[in-house]
Amino acid sequence: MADATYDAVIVGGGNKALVTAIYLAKYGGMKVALFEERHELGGGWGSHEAAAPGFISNTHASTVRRWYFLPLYRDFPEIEEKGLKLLHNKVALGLILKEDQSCLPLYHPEEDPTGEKTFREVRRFAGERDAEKWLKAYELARPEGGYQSASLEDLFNLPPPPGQPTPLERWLNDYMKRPDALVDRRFLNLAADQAASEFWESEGLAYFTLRVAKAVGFPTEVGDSGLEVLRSIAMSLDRCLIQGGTHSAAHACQRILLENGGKFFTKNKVKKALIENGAAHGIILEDGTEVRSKIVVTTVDPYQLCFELIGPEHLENSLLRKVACLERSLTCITWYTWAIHEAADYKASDFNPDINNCQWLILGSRNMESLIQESHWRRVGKNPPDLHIVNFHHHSLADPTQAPQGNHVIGSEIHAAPAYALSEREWMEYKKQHAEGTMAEWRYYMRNMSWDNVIGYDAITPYDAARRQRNMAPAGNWNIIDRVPGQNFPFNPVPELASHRTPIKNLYATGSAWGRYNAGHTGQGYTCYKAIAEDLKLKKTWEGQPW
Amino acid sequence: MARKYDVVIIGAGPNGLIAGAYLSKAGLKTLIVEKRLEAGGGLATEESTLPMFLHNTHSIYHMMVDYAPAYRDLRLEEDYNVRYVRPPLQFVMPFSDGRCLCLYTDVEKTCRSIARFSAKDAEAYRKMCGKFHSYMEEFLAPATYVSPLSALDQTAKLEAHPIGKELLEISEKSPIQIIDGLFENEQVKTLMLYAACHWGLEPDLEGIGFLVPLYLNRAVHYRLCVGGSHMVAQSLGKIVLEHGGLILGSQQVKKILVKNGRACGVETASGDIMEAGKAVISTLNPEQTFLSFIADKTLDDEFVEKIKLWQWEKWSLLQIHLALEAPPNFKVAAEDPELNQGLVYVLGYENSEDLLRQWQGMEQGKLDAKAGFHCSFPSVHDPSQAPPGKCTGLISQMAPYALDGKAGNWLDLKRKEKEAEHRLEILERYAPGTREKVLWMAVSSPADTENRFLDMKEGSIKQGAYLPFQLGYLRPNEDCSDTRTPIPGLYLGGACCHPGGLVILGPGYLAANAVADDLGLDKWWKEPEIVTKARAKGLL
Repeated sequence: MADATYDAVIVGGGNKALVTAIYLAKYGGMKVALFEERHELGGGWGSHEAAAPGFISNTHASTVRRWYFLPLYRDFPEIEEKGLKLLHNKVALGLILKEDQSCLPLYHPEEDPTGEKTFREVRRFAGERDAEKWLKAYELARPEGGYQSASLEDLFNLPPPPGQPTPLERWLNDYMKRPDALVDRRFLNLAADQAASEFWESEGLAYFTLRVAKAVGFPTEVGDSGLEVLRSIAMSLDRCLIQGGTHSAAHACQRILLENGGKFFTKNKVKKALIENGAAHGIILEDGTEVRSKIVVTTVDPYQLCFELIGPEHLENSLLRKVACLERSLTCITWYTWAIHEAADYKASDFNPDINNCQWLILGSRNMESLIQESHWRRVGKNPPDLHIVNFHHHSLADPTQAPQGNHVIGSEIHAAPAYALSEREWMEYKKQHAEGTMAEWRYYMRNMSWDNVIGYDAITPYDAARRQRNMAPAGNWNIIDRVPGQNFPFNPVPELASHRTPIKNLYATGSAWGRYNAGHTGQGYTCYKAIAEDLKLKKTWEGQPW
Repeated sequence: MARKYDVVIIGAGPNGLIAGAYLSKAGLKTLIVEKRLEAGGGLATEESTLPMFLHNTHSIYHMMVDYAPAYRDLRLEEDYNVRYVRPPLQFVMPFSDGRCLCLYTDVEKTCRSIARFSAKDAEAYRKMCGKFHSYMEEFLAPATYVSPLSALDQTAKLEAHPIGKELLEISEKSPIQIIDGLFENEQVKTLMLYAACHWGLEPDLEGIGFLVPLYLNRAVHYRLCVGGSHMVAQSLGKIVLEHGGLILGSQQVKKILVKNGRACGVETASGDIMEAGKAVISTLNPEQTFLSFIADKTLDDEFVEKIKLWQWEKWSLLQIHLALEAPPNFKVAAEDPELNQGLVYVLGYENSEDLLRQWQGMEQGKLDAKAGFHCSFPSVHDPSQAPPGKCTGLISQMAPYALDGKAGNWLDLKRKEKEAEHRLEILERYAPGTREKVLWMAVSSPADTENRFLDMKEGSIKQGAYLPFQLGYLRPNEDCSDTRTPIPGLYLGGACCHPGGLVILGPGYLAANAVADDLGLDKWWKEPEIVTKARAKGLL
């Protein structure tokens, strides 16, 4: 393409990039151009028909929450009209125990506005004492409970100045002063492995909590993750899916971007930021094209940012060392989407039939030891021998557009060793073995699952993640960097970059390595705009509001 | 929820997008509703096997880039960076005796290749090329981008012109008759018959023989879109959005709304109403448009009966997408390395008998494990479609929809894998070592095609067969072939209309013209030069 000039150039076309881009275009009044290496925008908001034609599989983000999109709902009220529509299954989250096929369905809040139905299920499954604790934890998720709103304040604001607590930390400090507080300082310091078992009497609930914590990428064997017990309940129940597939969110943003005069270019790889006198002036594409701009926003991972895009010659050694030391090998996932004739029929539906319409279902057991062990296997670069499967998204039950009429999709996920643990050939072999292994494990839980029910499957392993999204390389890390102490909000990825500003003037950085939570939410895209808006005096949409 | 637009287009395939791009650029507020998540229809590019291996999951070779007005009118190359490659070696057909027959973009090179089989046929090919080129330039291409005339009017015009007379003569013959008349050598005939018919032309069908010069001329004009076919869709989508239009995916249309006899919008399965103040264009098949979306009794019985007689294609396609560790190395390339650079390899046929047997088998729902196919390795020509050093592959085979009598057989993963292995065995014969290079594959059967695209019923890739009574003025019938329908305000714009399917960007263009003409819009685009010339000669 020909050399060109814009106000803002965005490196990467993933969800963080799209969100920052539409803010800059609509509220910053900037002429924005976004450059993406892949053939599609969206990054983790990706969906395709790789399991079988007509069946949608989400390549990364699959389950979303309404709070993922709160800034967009406020600042882009047209977002629904542009195609972002959330749907949900009857049961948001569930657990089945292998030993007796009992189950715990946790209903989506819209199916159970008072939480009573879910409470009764918890009591039935885990007994009175755990149910009381559940209720208390559940209350925290409500607006007046404070936990969720404080978390969102963290998520949608820039990190506070060094030394000051974040809104969630402030809330926790106050909360722990309450006599009936569920957690204390010591508890927060625990590893989730310990915390889950200590908190609950029921082995089932302990398994549940630990599996949820693992799912968002917490290395649960590491300390400082006791809070996961609360998070697994308070931030977890409003599980939704996006109509059409997660990629619809990318389409909606893409539409808004073009409407506001923005441009995007797929199959355009960015090579370098153009840096002169310590300031960014644009980018150079792989084909040599120069694109000039007033600001550059990058959404690549911290390592690529410092060592490739900016280049070590422009940065302090101390920063480079920190970035090079970032831990990023522990959040690797094997993620299959299956195209099936018939929706899964769980044996546990005898216990509660609603479990057949569950969005995110843990195929669990009372074997906590094995669940604890699985992360140790991964730490030494091995794929765990036992499969701790979560079946995610029976999306087609809530959204018939995701499969041909009468057919269905179902997902299965487990954690896996980093991409570099196996060779390419070994991963291909692994893919076939894992399909057989999943099928064998499924037979314990489902009545109708055999190869006869399978039309195809989309096998995504850490190998695939590392290759599809370069910011997830080299391990195929879905969180880009791991959520270990020292790499968490408000310090992540490293303190020098945490406010999205970089040592290079006019160059801003964001991505999943930033912010309070990793996921396909709009947090880091929005806060990156906040940083730019503060510096360049652009329109602020948040004044007088918590975020 | 009700939304108001000037034009609502059903289907965001190439035709829906073309119509949307022309009309939104003409100032009409346009909405395109699409059942699939992604816009593009047949212009689909997906990572069906492994990341960064881009597979064109439906349309891959674009044949009418030289002529389709949309490329130039919409400045797809200049403003949207839509680029094509046209590999110089277009078709390679190796035989078991070690020889191989090649079609190059360079006629003389092709003649030299044919001369190894028959000097007479080489001469016949040279003559044929000249002739077919002029048929294409003077009539076939221009006729693609104008509404068809009635058979009577068209015949009269053709009869008054020497080229027209020749075309009329050819049209009466079947592909086999035409090819038998042109060539003597069995191998040459086999390749020509394959090139003429594999997109769905029945070899012994008389009456639409003009398609043979069209396909044989096009056989050396195959192009690959750089970055994958979807780049065309993405660009067309940008044009729609940049001009105030909207494309909404995951929308299942339930009804076309008709008020006071006029089409005025659509209703989706989720109950949303999209109002269309000026026009509704359906790019779906006639059955969907007229039998599913239009309320009973809106159309007269005779018309409905005609729609019910619509015929799907006799065969569909089995497609095997491959992620390869490295490009294949064909035996025939040992002597001439350029033979590893072919675009399309036709494998598994020794003579036309092999081809005919495959067609006969398909009529019984059979697909022999030994049946031939063609394959292509797109990243050899456009490295951006695979990771560095690796290679994408596609095996594409004519295949019956009802395999062994039942389409459902195509939806059994283990069966599909078994069928794919048979094809890989054949490929292995011609390019030893290729099976070893396969990292992953994705198999798409005729039943999968129907699952992906509801309009391609029974895997019919062109929304309906090319038959004498389903082409030209009769596609889909004499009431609708100029895209207008018996319901005012409702237009057709899909492959079921003249000039048909295969991403030639015709029907959507004609629908946009019809809407613009009916609304008295000042068109921002001009009639294509080839059309003006053909009119001046009295051919159109």
